Amino acid sequence: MKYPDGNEVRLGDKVRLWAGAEGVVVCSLDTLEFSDEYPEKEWGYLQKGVLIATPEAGLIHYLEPDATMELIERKVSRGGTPREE
Amino acid sequence: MHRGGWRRPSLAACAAAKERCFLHRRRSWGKNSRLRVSTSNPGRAVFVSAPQTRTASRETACCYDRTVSGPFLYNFFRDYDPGTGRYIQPDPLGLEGGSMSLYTYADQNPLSNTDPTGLQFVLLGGGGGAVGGFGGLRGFGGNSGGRSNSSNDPYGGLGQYMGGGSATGSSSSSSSSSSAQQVQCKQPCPPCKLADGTVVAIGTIGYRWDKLPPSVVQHGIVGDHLNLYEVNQNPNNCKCFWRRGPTVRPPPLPGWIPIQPLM
Repeated sequence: MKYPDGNEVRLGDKVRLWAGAEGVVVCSLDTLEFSDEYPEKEWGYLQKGVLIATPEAGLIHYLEPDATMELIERKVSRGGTPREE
Repeated sequence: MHRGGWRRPSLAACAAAKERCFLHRRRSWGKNSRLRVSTSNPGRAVFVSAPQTRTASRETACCYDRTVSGPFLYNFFRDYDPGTGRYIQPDPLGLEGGSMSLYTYADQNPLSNTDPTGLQFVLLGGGGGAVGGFGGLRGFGGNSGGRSNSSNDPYGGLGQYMGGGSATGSSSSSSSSSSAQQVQCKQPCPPCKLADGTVVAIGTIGYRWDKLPPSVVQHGIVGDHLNLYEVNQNPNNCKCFWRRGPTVRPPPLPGWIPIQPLM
């Protein structure tokens, strides 16, 4: 799944979902990326889209990106640089 | 102690005894219940037994949660009424569920079939794990139809995970059926709840109201619009979550709730 600006949604991304609501991508089914807290064996059945954890609404599964969804910050890789696309 | 047997128990006769009184019913369609009758109000009777105590071969619904379903049996997607042998909600799959009646339990054949989730009936003890009355969990309609392996319907597989117990069955004996049912009942998911404790059924629609000036077009809608979400529950870990749905014009319909965290 991609943001409206064309960037791929990746695990660990900090995203703005709508005005005043931010979240973190905890699973990216499309890229088969799963956080430790949301393992593939439990969440892989969703098959596609991304799972985003938000304080405002809890967990949300998106099959398609929202027009208002935008990347705030990309998780820094172990090497200390933002992960490449 | 009054035993109803195959006859309909008499609540009035029980109440007339002026003592704590239980009525047992052992009947088909899961009607193996125990009622406690209030002596002060003979019209009021409550279930006091859990379905796990019932005869395995008669066990129909999986989980009993009186706080949720009153005298009905919580069966994941629907509540089963042992009094009528039917569900109290229509089949969420509609007519695509395979039955002409949307309220029947296990294709009206509880001796051969079971329906542990309210979505599909499963042939008890079938060597090949026969499955009937099946389709995708549609909800918003954007991911309609499809068996569980459909690549564009991740929710179609819900029944596969929740009702897979019989798929591995190899015996047609009743003990096998019972065993399969017990597997289903070992880890029933609790209902989804809001932060204030309110129970929300799977499939409940949540909305987020975007209040915009009439000059703004978003999601193809001019001005105000509702972003819809649907309550779902992961069958593997019972965690509840929202699934993003379509965007529609206001106002919200009765039964819709503002989106908020699920417990």
